[in-house]
Amino acid sequence: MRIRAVGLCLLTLFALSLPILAAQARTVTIVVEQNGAPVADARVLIAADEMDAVGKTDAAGRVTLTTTSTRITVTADKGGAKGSTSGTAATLTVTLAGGAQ
Amino acid sequence: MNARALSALRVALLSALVANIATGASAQTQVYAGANDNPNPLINASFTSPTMTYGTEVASGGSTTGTTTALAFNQVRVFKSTSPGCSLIAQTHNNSNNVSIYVVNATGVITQVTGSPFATGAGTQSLAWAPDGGALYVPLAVAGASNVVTFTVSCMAGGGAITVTNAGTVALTGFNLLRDAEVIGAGNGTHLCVSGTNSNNIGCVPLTARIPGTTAVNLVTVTNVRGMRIAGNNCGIAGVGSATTVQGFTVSVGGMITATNTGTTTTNPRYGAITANGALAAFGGFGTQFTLFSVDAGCMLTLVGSNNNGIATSLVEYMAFDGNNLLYVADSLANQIRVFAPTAGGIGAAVSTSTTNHATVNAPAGIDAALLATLPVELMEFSID
Repeated sequence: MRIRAVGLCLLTLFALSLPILAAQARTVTIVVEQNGAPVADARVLIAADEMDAVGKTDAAGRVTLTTTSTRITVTADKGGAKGSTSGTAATLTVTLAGGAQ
Repeated sequence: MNARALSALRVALLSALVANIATGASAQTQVYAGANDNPNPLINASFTSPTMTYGTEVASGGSTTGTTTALAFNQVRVFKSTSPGCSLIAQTHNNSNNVSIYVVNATGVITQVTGSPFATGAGTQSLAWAPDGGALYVPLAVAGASNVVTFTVSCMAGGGAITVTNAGTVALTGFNLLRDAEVIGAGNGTHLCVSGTNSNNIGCVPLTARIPGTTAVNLVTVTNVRGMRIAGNNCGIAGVGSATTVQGFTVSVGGMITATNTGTTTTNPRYGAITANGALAAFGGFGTQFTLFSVDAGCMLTLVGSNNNGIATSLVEYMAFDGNNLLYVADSLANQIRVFAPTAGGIGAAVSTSTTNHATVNAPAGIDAALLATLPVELMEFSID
């Protein structure tokens, strides 16, 4: 009985410690907009704790990323228009400003 | 041969030797880089200007989260030994959370040491060798933590056994998310210097029997610090990751860091390199450009210039100098390595641009370069008639 109780305690401690030992990967969607409309083919630079990434938005103005970072920073540009944002949300929106209209 | 002719021959030979040393014209450099891939082999090459010759990649047993569009932070660092058969290469793997250690034998063949790869834990990104190669330090880039894993390494010269032992993990005080590390001092090294991205600081902790202490001699603020390198003259550089700024500094023999001046980069800094003599420093950044600085005897930075590879889908973050101050630049996500011969007067055009033999465009990631050891030769008796 004592052995089973100790075993259960150890199992519980192990399970509780897992989130500390291994950061969970999550998917972040980045949306690039200008004047309220999605911007396709915009260059997106993403800074996370474990990596930097570079990509281009799809036709819906989106890029997705899998990361273990809580917070990421995003910069985007197209045709001289630029924007940046950072945050912890699952969806981050970058609004471009400037450049050729 | 008469004395005058012999003297002329001696002068000619000496002149050629001096010119060769000065330009590094015929020097061969061994270049090593991570592949930013899963699996994550070791890219290796020999460079004799202007030709880069790639060897077969070496399997590592580790993996990264790198993709064709994402550069996972991983390093490769070389310890060049004066003992034959004891030069070592270490490589991090941020996905499999371990470190590969390779030995380079006298003929340049690279093999993993027994037990490699070695488990380290989440946040495995960066590395630092002790000056004598007797220890490898792995700072872990975990938010809310500040752990350093120490491995001790013993090597028997001449191709004997290499033993790697996990000597334990130390939690440093006053740091959060360790990003980079260097060891200062001779032999075992006297201090392990680290950068903490989330604690916005750099500092050096004393080493006792190769194990880091918990408390830094002092802490110097460097916001969102990324990368850090310290030259043999104890001049250092560290990047401000959230701005286009690098911080120059000097480290005393006692491990006290003193900030000097700042320099302006073209992109937000990521990883840096400094020449062995501390005269030049370069920083890659969050984009396609790197920036070069000259460094004076007081560790003050002066901007030399910047370079843009013009490949919009790439990231230029990792670079390394060899012993002749040639600069090896990893064009990550473009599978390309460029070599420059920069001076305090300018970066100049690349003297070499080559595609690695890695199978995907992911590569390369962290890079290091070491002049090939001069092979020992036995001087035979001779005469000139």
